[in-house]
Amino acid sequence: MAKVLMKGNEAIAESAVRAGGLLYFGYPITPQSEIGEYLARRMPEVGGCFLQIESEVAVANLLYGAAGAGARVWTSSSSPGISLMMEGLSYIAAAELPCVVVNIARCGPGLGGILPSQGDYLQAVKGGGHGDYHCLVLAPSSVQEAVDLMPLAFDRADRYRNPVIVLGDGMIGQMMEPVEFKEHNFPPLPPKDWATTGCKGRKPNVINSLYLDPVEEEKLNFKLAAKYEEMKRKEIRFEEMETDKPYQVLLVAYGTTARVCKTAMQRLRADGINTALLRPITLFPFPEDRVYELAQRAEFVLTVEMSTGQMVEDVRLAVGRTRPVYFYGRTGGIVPSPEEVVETVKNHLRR
Amino acid sequence: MSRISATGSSEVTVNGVRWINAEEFFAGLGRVNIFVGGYGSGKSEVAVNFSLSLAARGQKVSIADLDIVNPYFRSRAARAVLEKNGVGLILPPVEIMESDLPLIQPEIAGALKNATSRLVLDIGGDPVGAKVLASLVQWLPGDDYNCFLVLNSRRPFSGSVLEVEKLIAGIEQSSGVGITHLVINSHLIEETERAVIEEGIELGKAVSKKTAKPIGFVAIEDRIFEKLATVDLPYPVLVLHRLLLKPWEENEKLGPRCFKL
Amino acid sequence: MRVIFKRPESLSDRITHYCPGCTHGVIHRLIAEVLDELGLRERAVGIAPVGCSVLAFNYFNFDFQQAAHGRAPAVATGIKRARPDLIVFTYQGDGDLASIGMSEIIHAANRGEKFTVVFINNAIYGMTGGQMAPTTMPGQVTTTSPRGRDVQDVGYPIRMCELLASLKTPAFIERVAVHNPRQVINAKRALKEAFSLQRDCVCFSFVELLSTCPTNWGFSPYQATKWLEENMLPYYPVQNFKRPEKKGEKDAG
Ligand SMILES: Cc1ncc(C[n+]2csc(CCOP(=O)(O)OP(=O)(O)O)c2C)c(N)n1
Ligand code: SF4
Ligand SMILES: [Mg+2]
Repeated sequence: MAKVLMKGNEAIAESAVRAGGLLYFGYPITPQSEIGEYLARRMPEVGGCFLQIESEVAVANLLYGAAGAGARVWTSSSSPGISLMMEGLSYIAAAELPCVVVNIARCGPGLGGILPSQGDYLQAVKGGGHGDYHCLVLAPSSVQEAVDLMPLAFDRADRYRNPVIVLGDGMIGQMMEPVEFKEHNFPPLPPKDWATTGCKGRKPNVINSLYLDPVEEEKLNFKLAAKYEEMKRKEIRFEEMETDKPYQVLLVAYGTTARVCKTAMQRLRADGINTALLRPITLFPFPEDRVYELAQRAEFVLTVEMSTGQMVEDVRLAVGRTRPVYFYGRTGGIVPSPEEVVETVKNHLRR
Repeated sequence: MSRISATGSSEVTVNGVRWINAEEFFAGLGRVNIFVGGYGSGKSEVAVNFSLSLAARGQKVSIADLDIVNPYFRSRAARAVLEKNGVGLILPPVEIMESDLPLIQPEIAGALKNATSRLVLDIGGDPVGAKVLASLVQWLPGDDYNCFLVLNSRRPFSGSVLEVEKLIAGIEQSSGVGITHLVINSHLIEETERAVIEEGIELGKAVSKKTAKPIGFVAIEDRIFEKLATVDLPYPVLVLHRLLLKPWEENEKLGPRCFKL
Repeated sequence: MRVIFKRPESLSDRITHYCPGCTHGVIHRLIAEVLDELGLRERAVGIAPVGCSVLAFNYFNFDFQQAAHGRAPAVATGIKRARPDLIVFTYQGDGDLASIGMSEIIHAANRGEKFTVVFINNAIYGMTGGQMAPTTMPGQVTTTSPRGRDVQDVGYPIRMCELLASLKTPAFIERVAVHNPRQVINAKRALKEAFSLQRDCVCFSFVELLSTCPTNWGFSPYQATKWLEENMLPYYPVQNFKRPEKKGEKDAG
């Protein structure tokens, strides 16, 4: 198929449709409303269902119902809406249901503004709602990558019977880049024989998250924990740049800020400073071992984010006290500029 | 059919924006220039460059950002360059500019009536975005205006004559303004190749034939234009300089290729 | 020997946890009988709320989902939109439906989602120990209205059937009761009508059942029945509020 020029939001919507995400429920919020608007046009063409629902609270619970009935279902929203979905997501994780949630994050806290932010990192990777659970979290840094991660998100949601969050930000959602839609082939998935599809010829199925017996509840928690461990073994994804040459500084950044870092790295090289970049693609599970290994070859690590310091907590956990870990962040919807990153690196090198 | 090369004699370069073969086009230009089009078709980039090129020709010109559907990458993002180059701005107050509120400035009516200054209207995409025009139609100056439909054949819902016809009908219906010209702006940003531009022109021609709306001009980004050996077009060409950049592109570009600041 | 009374196939062979005299059990049985009689068990998916009936999935013998507090109509919408062929119903208390889940029920009703709502109005929060519900009667003493519900302070009880009947879309709305055999027969008729309408993909259907909570009301089951008759019936009239016009009737009109 010829390349087309698409906004991140539209591309995510189209990619989801092609991955069989034919059931979408959502509630409008900037800067991701184009997803719903695109689907409102597109779903009827492919026999899918787009439905605007009264609130994100309800949306998450529609996901629960539809996923429980065996459907490939998804939604998208932006930060305040994602907060409202946390109730449903916790139930979905507990009942081990598959679904995909796209967060095109905007700045906050509170109503904040409509500009991009990475301030939802901790909410996304540490569970977010109540109880002891995690979502698999994928973070694209280009429109093409967003397109490529959607089919993976659906597959992994089904494979692990777990919610998958695709964490972008307003920049990923709003910017336009050329994209291509490729075929993705995944190994066959197990049948959804647990779904509530009518009990004809079998025992009734129950989708549930209520465990009044502490022994049973603990069993569930341990089962979920084992699943997260399996993700850590099998799902960690990241991109490395310039790690095959000697470098003084290791940059760690994801999504939009990784793009800024790439430009900064070129400038730094021109000034005779060698840096390498590790860009996590999975934020949970976090590429902690690789961050540690690569940090050992650098004088220090610099984490760049559009927050006051969220992913840096995971970087520090990975690196420990073996190397200094510095942080540079901008917020309020301001994207750090390549200059600022260059200056920060130079300042720390001067020390 | 006139043959023009990239270094043709009819080329005018001011402030980084180049026009080729455009004298006739400018002679017939209306006072008010409206840019409409499909969502993401490049209206803002074209409108901003268009305004700058009018200012560079010594004309008094203002631009109004009437995009009520896009939250980012609107012409207001280029306000510094526009202001420094003498383009008047009709924009929402700075404190609430970066919002998704539908903000229509009251000055717009006055600007539409002001016969001493040219006006460029950057309108949001699709029939939804074009709706804002419906409330302004009453002040449009007779036939002293152009309404340009910006067309990128590599955007969704814009790739065929049928789709573009549908778009035109939708925009004309929701805005109450008739589209007077097509602007061919087919591109894939840095991945644009000659074939993409040619395909856009072919589509434009076919649409033009169906709708009797002439092609006003063809827009080509400067970096792409430089790579094309020759450009052989019977239309005016706007060689535009991208100003609505992504944050990590911004500074790469603030080199010599930039507007005078 | 002739069997004249047996457990419907749609009920599982388990003893419920409901208090003596509680009407939840009666209503479970009515739903089961209706689904058996309509032959819908194998296509049925119930949704349990948060409230005393949170464990309803243990008592029915077909597929079930357990929903977050108040969200059963959202869950039901998800199921029904994914699988329109399934027979879906929510089973919700008055705290669940009329308080925390008000938004979900109104919008599902207003979209005309083709599932059935079984609404248990016992004028109290049963599960959490007898707090005031939006349906608690004026003057009724609860743990959070110890001097009786003061309508000056917290307003009058919400009448859900009347509220939903003001919407144009939802087409079957009826309030019934189960405190005596005649009312039980009528309630079963209403439930059967509701499920039949769903089976025939006609409309959203809503059945409110006035119920007793002897435990939290602090009455014997018999006194509770009397209290319901004297206090709830005058305020919550048992009647049909809406019923889709039959094809013929409409044509005639
Ligand atoms: C979000 C949330 N808030 C509060 C609760 C606690 N809670 C459980 S049941 C209930 C009230 C149930 O009352 P009702 O719906 O009338 O059902 P009943 O027990 O009377 O049948 C409440 C407040 C909860 N489970 N979840
Ligand atoms: S507390 Fe009330 S509603 Fe709950 S089971 Fe007991 S009687 Fe029934
Ligand atoms: Mg109750």
